[in-house]
Amino acid sequence: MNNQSNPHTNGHNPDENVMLTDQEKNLLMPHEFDGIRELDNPAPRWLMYLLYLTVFFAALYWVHYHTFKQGPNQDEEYAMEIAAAETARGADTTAVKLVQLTDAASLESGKKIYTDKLCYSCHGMLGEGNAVGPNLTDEYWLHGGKLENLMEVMKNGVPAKGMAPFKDQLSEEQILQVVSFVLSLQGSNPPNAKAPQGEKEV
Amino acid sequence: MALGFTISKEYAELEWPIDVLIAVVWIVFGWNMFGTIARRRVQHMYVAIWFYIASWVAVTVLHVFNSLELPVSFLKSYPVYAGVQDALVQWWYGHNAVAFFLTTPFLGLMYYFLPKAANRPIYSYKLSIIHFWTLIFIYIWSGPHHLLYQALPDWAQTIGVIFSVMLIAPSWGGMINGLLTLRGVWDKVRETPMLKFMAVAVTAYGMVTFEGPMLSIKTINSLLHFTDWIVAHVHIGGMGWNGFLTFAMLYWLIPVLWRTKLYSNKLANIHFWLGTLGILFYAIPLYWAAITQGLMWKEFTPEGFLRYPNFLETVTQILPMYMTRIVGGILYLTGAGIMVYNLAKTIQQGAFVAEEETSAMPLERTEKRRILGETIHGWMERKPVQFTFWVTVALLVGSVVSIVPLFVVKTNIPTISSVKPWSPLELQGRDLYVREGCYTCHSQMVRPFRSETERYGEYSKSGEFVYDHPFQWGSRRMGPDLARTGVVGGKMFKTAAWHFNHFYDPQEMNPQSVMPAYPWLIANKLDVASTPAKIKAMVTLGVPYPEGFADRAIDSLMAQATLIANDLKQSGIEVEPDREIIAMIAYMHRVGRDISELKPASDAGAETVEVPELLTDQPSLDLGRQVYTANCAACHGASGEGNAIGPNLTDDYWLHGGADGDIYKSIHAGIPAKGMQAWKDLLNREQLRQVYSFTVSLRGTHVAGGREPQGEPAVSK
Repeated sequence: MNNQSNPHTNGHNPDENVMLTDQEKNLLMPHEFDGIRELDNPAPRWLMYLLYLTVFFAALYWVHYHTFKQGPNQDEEYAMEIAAAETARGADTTAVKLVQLTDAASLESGKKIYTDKLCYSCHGMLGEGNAVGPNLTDEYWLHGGKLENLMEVMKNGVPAKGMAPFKDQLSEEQILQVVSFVLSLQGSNPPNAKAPQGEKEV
Repeated sequence: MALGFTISKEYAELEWPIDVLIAVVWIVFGWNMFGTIARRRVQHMYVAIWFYIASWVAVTVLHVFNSLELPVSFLKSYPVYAGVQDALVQWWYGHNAVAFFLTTPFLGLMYYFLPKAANRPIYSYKLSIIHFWTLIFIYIWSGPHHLLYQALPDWAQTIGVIFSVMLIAPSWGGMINGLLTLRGVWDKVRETPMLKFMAVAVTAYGMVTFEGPMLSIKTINSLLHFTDWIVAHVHIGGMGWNGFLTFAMLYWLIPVLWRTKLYSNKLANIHFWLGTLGILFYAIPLYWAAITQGLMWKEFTPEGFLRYPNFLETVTQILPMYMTRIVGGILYLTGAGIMVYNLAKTIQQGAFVAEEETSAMPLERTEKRRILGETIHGWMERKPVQFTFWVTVALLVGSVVSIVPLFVVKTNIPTISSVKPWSPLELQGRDLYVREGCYTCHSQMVRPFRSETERYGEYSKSGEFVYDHPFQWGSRRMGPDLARTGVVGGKMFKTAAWHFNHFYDPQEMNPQSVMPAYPWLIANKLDVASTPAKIKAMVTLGVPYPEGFADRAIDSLMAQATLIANDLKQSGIEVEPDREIIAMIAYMHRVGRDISELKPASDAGAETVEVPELLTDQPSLDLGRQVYTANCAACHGASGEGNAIGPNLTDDYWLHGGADGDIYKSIHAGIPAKGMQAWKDLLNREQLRQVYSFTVSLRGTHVAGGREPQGEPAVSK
């Protein structure tokens, strides 16, 4: 190579300062930069193998998914996941008898669901209603006050008015519990109750 | 970005005037750097310089192509790309900004300061060649790994995966070369604080560059994307690699420049331990938080429901980890403060060397061609122009191959017929969403997982985003995904009143919510006057608004705003229609809605419109009049008499048929060619029915002073 190396750079002479073994002295590259020298060691073999391995993996991955289309794409993956869940859910079809629950345990679970599902953010902590949702403690109902009506509203919601459907979040039994809890609030006359809306139903 | 002047593209938030300034500064830097290289006194360009050349070229290309934006005003612009394309360009930039701003220049620094401080020769010249070229060639391809399982074509995602995996060895090349250079002087590392920092920096670099490829494996990514793992990952990089390397450099450079010794090795050691502990206290809780939250999002009950359907639970769970993270940050900063003191003391005791005597000989002219026995690479190492050329080629190959097909091959983004441009009010709302930085905590990208479609609704499709300048997919979910807030009856739909109250005081709705309040949206008047310019800009960018729509944009905006204000009034909320909150609600009610209105493809072609039953009762007609006054009067006159724009609706002549069904269809689908809007996009079914009934009631009223008849006489019914 050319005679570009210059031992006087920056006052350092690496050959003097650096503790080099004889073997390393033989490996020194002829060039130098501000006193920095380089050895002509080979790249570590394991690192090179790692590189080849990842390149091989990459090629395999592409061929598997795109050349031969052996693996599912993300839409297919999703369809498989849903199908598997449907199968699993199919096994669980225990019929729930539609009768208002009155036992303390069920009402307690209903109350917990009322809190967990944030029903209170629209209907108030005590079912008294607020700017968003109607009062649940009076006898007036916008969508019917019978058990079946409430079940229907809980399951499918009233989308246009912002009531969310819960059939994808709660089981039939859980919906029955929360509906029973709501019905148990009838006539509780909480403070700050919202004015009645809808039809009176007893 | 501060004050809301942002284009919302991560690491490239700044608005266009600042983008221009950045470009100017960068060109000046490049000029200076290449000028210095041209006048160098050492023929051979050392490896550190290679990394600097690559950094400069790459950042130039990245900055220019990611910042292409159309200014609307001095501090507002829209990116020229939309949706998926914008996302891909952004993450090609985002990922490689990390590579070529925080990795390659720092490798260059390491290649200089590490051998200088250790006083050892670089372990392997060959390794530096191999890892330099593989690193810059492979790095540029791997941006799409930020968009795995998102609405990006599968082939592009695969590119992101496989190139990231191939990146392990090239990245490690730098770490290995650094660590092996320290071979034989590890006793020195123990004694010299500067080398300690260097060793930890290089180790952090090795860790991060292993973690990156692992996070690019789709299975791992599906759990950890949108969580704090990414935050921890980049902080190991930022605090460990970039931070510690910078500290090391300063500890070495300042004493050399001031011709003195470091004021206190002991303080530097304290800094070292505070910094290291700081990183651990910062990152480990975040890793923990990430796994916790990722698993909670995905967990189902045995009955097949989400275990934690309330997103807030998954946030409350990780808040304690954030406290530990703060401790980590404080430790780290305290260490840095100690360093500043130490260095100030060092400077005080030294004397600055302003000018160093040139010690190298002037460069001699040498043979241009390769000389006998010179390797090709050795030849290139003394030819900066050739070297820069091949660096540019290496960088462009991946950029072009991974990005261009998405722009030229149409099938990559299947069109969805029901996806329509934003209405003027929604567009303004969208700009507010960008201004307030909502994307920093909320994604708008439902991935194709059951756990996400159960929580949010239909997963996102690439065709949904074709009018989105800029895209708003986000990268971290501190709050729930908002891609489906506009789907009426969907899992994320909330009423206008709910949004109003929630923006005003989120904690009133959900006491544990961590969302800040946005009361100013209610107080501030919307900048309505900017609407026509924004619509014009969108038209320039290819959004198909009807001709002349910009001139009608403000009318359309006010009409829609009035509807929302009326809706709020029904819930007992009085607010002027020209407030920002109204635009925000309009936007929230539109996001992700279009796809839900897609008709089943069974009866392809003829779209059958179901004509609703006519309303004849007075209250309904009054409601119809309200809708009419808000939306139609601008073109058809206050009483349907017509004006310079729209025809008379009270005579017996009709341009598009005067039968009930015809009138409904004209309102429903519009006559876009003549400027009549498709009102199905702006009104709900009930409103359509009301305004249709009202319009029918106008028929034949022959209002005095009406416009001359146009079209065919109506068939009497």
